[in-house]
Amino acid sequence: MAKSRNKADKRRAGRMTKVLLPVDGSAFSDRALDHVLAMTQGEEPIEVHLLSVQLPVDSGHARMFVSDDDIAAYHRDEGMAVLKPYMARLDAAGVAYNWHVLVGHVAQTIARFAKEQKFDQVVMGTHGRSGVTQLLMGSVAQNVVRRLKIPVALVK
Amino acid sequence: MHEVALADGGFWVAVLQIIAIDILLGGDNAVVIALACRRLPEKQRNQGILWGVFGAIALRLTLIFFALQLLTLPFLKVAGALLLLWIGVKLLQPEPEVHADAVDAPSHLFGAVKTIVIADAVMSLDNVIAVAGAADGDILLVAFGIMVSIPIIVWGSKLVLMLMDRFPFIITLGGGLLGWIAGEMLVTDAALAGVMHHLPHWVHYPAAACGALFVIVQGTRLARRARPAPLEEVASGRHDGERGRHG
Repeated sequence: MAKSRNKADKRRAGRMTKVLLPVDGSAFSDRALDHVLAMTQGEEPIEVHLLSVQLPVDSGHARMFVSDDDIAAYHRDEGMAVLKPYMARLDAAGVAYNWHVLVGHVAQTIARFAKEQKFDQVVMGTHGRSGVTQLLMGSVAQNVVRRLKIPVALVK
Repeated sequence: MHEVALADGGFWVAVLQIIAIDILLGGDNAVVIALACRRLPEKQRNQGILWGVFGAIALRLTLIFFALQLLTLPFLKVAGALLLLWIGVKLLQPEPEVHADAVDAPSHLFGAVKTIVIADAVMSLDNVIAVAGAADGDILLVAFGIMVSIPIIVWGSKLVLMLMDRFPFIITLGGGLLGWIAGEMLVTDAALAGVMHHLPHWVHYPAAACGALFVIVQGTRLARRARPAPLEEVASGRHDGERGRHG
């Protein structure tokens, strides 16, 4: 704790560093988790929050035919399926963590959640899913970095 | 007639327009299909999807067939064009907050198929008008466009949703396309045939461009005004690790 003392350190004095780890099931997310696990071994205590963002059912029409509960359950199932392997690894490592499934546009939602919940740092993979998809999509990570002022660690 | 159309490339332009519309306005149909079949036993799920999609295509073709007939009547293209402008502006808005008292997902095959077909019919009315406008009276075009786009909607919907999430300008372009078609539709209405006869043939280009411009400008303006909805968290929890218990 003694090394760097800037304003941010003082502000968050008395609580653990909140680290947000958005994951998407890709190998890059696996390595982002490796990084977070390494951080938990450090001297500074951190609070880990695992996050999966699910794309919304955008149309109001769709909501006319399927109940909100069913839509929420659908997003929950899809999100939990993504989180499951990461939760297993955190459990195995004996690390305490919180987990969240949010619905919304990916980069925007990650950034808003990080701001609203006053996170200190975001750790995520540089790339999303591999191959052609990635080539078409560009990087969510870049978009998140652009939207946030807090440190964002991009793991390769 | 088709030989001529094929030769001047207009056929393919129209096909591309129809495919673009089907994908843009139909992306979430796939989600409804998935949701409607959620509670079916594993074995029946694929059957539900298959029959639901089949029924939806059949109904869609029928609806468009009638729409094409109707559009030859005076003033109906004008009405269709105005409706299409509105649909285009609506496409550019952030998620609408509609919460109807929808029924729970059905747990039997027939119920699932019924939900898919009815939902598709209601959800694709916008689609029907847009496609009918792009097709300019040619049912063959419509059939072809639908055949190409259905597999994309059913199997590629996640990719389409992701693309739209990552590149919002795709949606803006889509809104512009709807406005373009609306503009073309407006000047080809039967009631305006007398007036249009005296104007040069290229007049439908500026008309289409005006439609596209209107949708993009109006749509973005309204979207900017919309306030962001609160973040939607559908699940969360906490797992205590060994260290968590100590601390």
